[in-house]
Amino acid sequence: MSFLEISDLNYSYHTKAGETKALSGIDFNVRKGEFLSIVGPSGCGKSTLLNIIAGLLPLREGSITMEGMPIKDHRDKIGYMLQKDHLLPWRTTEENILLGLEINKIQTKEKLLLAEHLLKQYGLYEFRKVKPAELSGGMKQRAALIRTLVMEPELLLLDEPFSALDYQTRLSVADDIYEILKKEGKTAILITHDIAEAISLSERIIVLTRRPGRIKKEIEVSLTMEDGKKPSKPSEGRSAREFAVYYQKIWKELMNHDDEI
Amino acid sequence: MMMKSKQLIDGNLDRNRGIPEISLAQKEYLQNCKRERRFIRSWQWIIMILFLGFWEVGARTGFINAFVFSSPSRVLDTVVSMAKDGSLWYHTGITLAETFLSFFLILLLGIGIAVLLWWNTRLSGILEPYLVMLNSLPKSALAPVFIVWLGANMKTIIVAAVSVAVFGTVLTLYHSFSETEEDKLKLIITLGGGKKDILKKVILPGNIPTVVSLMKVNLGLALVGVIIGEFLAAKAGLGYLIIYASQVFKLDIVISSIFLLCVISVLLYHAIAKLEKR
Repeated sequence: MSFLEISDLNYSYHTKAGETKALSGIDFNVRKGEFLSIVGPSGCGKSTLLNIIAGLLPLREGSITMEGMPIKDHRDKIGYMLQKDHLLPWRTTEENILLGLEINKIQTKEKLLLAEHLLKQYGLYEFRKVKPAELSGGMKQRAALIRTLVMEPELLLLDEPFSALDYQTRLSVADDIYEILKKEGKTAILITHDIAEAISLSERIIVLTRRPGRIKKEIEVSLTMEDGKKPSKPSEGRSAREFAVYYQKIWKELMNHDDEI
Repeated sequence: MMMKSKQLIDGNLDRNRGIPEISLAQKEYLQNCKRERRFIRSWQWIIMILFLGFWEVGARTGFINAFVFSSPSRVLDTVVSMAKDGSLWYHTGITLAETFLSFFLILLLGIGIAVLLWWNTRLSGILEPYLVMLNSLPKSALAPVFIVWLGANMKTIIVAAVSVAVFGTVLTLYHSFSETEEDKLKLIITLGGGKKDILKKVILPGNIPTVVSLMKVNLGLALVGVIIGEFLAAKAGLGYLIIYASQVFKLDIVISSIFLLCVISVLLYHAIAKLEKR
């Protein structure tokens, strides 16, 4: 039994103009502690898939289980990271991070200690009393991740969390977040349209087709550096030997869709 | 020329010493700004002095009828004597009290109804055309109806003032609520929150700037509403004073009351502007 099992998932949007099939026959598993990326052309239903797993959209056809139980019983074990940090500008960093605890009224001593620990660990403790406007882009994104982590989720859903950042910040934030997730032993699903990002971060990549999104290919990723070791962080992995090969492979899979039409 | 070259040398010296110096161009720019400001200020004063001067001289020479148009000196006399016999404070106080009461009612009702409409999208769908109609209806048309329903008393004045501003407030706030970024709502839901949390953590705190700018508009509108109400249904207040005095042809009192209204609106405007800065 895998940690997360998704089988035979279909989803359609209904508008006055008609029905749009967004996902068709989605079927995959996620191992515990795995970092999985889903790539696909824009509008292929990646976000829809993530929203269904998160429970933001109803599960109509198919099944999703987490540790053998229906996903809806595990809502509190799922963390979600959005494209932008969405820190509330009128709250300090600390107040932003405690938002989830406040909403669930679980501001226990342990949770507050955990928040403090995470702030210290990830270099935000000195900035805890500061409003988000004074934080850098990378710090904001880290704060957003800590806001999710204090809820102690077991599964993290990352909806292009780096796409709003400039290129340099993007690489270093991806490193940070990868390190944090690995250290905390979280399972993560990342959706992105950045192939290089997907390869450098994940252990496995799922390529989706154009709408309606179907699974086109599953690719296991394993990178080795010149010295024969595994890359110590994602940005390093970009110069791994196999990187270009994976890139070509995924690129071809994505491009193939155009021929089908 | 001499001056300029000296300044230039001074500037260079400053640079050599490492003191942050103000360049000549910057100095010139600042001086220009100052000059512009002075120009505008002086014309503001000139207009006022000319206006009051022509009015006073015109009234004294009989060019305009002082009985109908009053004059600045007569207005001043009237205000002073009204201050002495206490009627100035009484009427101004009543008008101000009514304005503040209406203002707070508008704010309370406006926010309350806007929250209700945001909470229940069906309700807002149903009520929207009615709100739009009530918002564009000239509320002064309702005042006589209020008198018949509520009597010629303070209740009518407050209701009239509230009716002037409350519908606009509701619509503006409701639209501002609805325009909150979708992802912010999503954030609260993914953190396990519901509609109440969205309201408390995102919608209300995020709309404080909108509320403050509405307060600015509403204080003025409340005053308009109160004066309309006092015209029709009052025994005290500046609006009452204007109507009463015009009916007995005491134009000095009418103009003085209008002058007091000018002073009140300026003071209220500045009070809110100060609040906005904080």
